[in-house]
Amino acid sequence: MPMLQLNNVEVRYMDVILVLRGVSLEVEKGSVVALLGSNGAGKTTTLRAISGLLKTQDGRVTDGSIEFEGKRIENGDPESIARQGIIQILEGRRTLVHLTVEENLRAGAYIAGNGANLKRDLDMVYGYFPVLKELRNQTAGYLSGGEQQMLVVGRGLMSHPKLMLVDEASLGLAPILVEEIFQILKRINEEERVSILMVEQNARAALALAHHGYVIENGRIVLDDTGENLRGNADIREFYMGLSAVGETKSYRDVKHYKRRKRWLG
Amino acid sequence: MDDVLIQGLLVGGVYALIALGFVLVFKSSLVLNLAHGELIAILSYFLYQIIAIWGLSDWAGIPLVVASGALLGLLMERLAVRPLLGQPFLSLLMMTLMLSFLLKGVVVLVWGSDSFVLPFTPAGQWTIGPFNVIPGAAISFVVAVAIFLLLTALFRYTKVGLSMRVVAADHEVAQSLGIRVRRVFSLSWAISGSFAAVCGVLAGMVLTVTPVMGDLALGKGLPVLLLGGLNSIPGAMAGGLIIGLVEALGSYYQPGMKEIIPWIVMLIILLVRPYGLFGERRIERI
Ligand SMILES: Nc1ncnc2c1ncn2[C@@H]1O[C@H](COP(=O)(O)OP(=O)(O)OP(=O)(O)O)[C@@H](O)[C@H]1O
Ligand SMILES: [Mg+2]
Repeated sequence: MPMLQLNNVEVRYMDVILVLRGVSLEVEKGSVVALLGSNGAGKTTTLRAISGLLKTQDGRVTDGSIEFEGKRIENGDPESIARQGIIQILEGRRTLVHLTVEENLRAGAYIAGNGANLKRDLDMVYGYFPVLKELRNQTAGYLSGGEQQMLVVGRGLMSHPKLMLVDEASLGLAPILVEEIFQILKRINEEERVSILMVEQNARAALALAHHGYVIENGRIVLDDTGENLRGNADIREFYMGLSAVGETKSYRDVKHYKRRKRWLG
Repeated sequence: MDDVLIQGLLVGGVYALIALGFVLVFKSSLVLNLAHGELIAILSYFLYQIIAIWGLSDWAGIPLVVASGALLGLLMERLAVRPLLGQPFLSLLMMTLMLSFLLKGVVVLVWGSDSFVLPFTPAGQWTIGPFNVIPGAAISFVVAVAIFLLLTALFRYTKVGLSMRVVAADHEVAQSLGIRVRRVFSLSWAISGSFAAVCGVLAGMVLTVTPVMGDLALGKGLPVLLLGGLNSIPGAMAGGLIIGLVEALGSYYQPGMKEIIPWIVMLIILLVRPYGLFGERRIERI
């Protein structure tokens, strides 16, 4: 049985705006799953439906079910869902800007508890993100975009989640940084045994580590396959990676075209 | 003159404590609790009831009042404020204004227009070094500083304190980390209510407790609050001391100025520093 299972999930905002129209997806324990799609497809909504953070946006799961480790969690309290081991890394690098880097991390340890483990967990995060150790006493608001992204991932890690929901970690970062962060996500998945469901517009980066991928369009899953197959899938390559044929370099027109459509080339 | 300044500083401690009650609640739930003044008044009256009418000892009365303050704070949050969470700031402001009138009504209903000075207030003057001070003011100041230090330590070093800061910074992030935001709200209101009780006790030592005491407390608390920044604990402390000092100076030269001066100072500082002296400036960088 998969760790997380969404069955025909329908989500409405304010009880009228229908955004997810029957989304089904699964995350196997220990795997990395990518959910790809363009602006407004419903990626963030899907993650919020899982974490319960839909509530703060006046949204609700109005049909279907979400099961985590065999328990129904749709429309649950975000706090209690987090306690069950699902941590969402929110879109847009939501650091606590007036707190220091280390205070941000300590805030992440709220569920796991304090005491002797705190130091060990901090060292674990500093091990993955050495730059955070150097910046530990800095005010988080003054960190660079990449450092802030590392901080929010590290903060999520502090609670020892079973499943991490990562929303567009690549957004607005230089390609080299994206690669670095995704490499670390891969290590976290393998070494800490954290399952990951990541939402991305940057298909190339996500598929580099995803075991499985889904493509969502207009609130519906339109394609799903193994990561490997998706990496080779012509449609995905053309639409999400900006490559029109295997090995061929992108023409300038393509680049411009894709730039207009936000950061797929990331 | 020196005595006047010292007296102002000491009384400023109480003003700071009044403002701290506002800051705690504002920081966590972004509600400006206009009922805080009347909360102080009703708790003062309740202390009077316990000691003067029921005849309990001072040392039983004070803890009882502090506990009642916490309970009242909790009740206000649960019954009046929480149902309105997420509504516009103005709705919540009106709600706390209504609560303030309600509490005032209760005071008048139960105690009429009684006024009193708390019986355990030490009389006369104390001489501390070169200064002569009024005992009630000196005690108030020490208590206020102690509470300020405690609160600072709470926020800096404890898990509960950190969770309160996280909630103050971003409700959604707090929830995403498993922090029970509503529980933190309740806690802030309870602590704020117990501060109101302490203010009620201290004010009862420094001033005469009268039915207008609530307005008076609001009238001191607000300028301090706006001066120090709505969300700053050190700001409330510094603001309290400044207002206390300036007020003392003003009334030394011109007795009638006492009630006007705090507002003038507040006006000037707000014009120069809209976030207050210590208010958190937004860090615009994403
Ligand atoms: N709080 C809300 N109230 C009403 N509609 C919303 C709300 N949040 C999102 N939507 C709508 O739901 C749709 C899906 O939004 P969502 O944020 O899930 O998209 P996304 O795939 O994450 O897009 P992006 O890549 O731009 O982040 C959009 O059309 C959006 O306008
Ligand atoms: Mg999104």
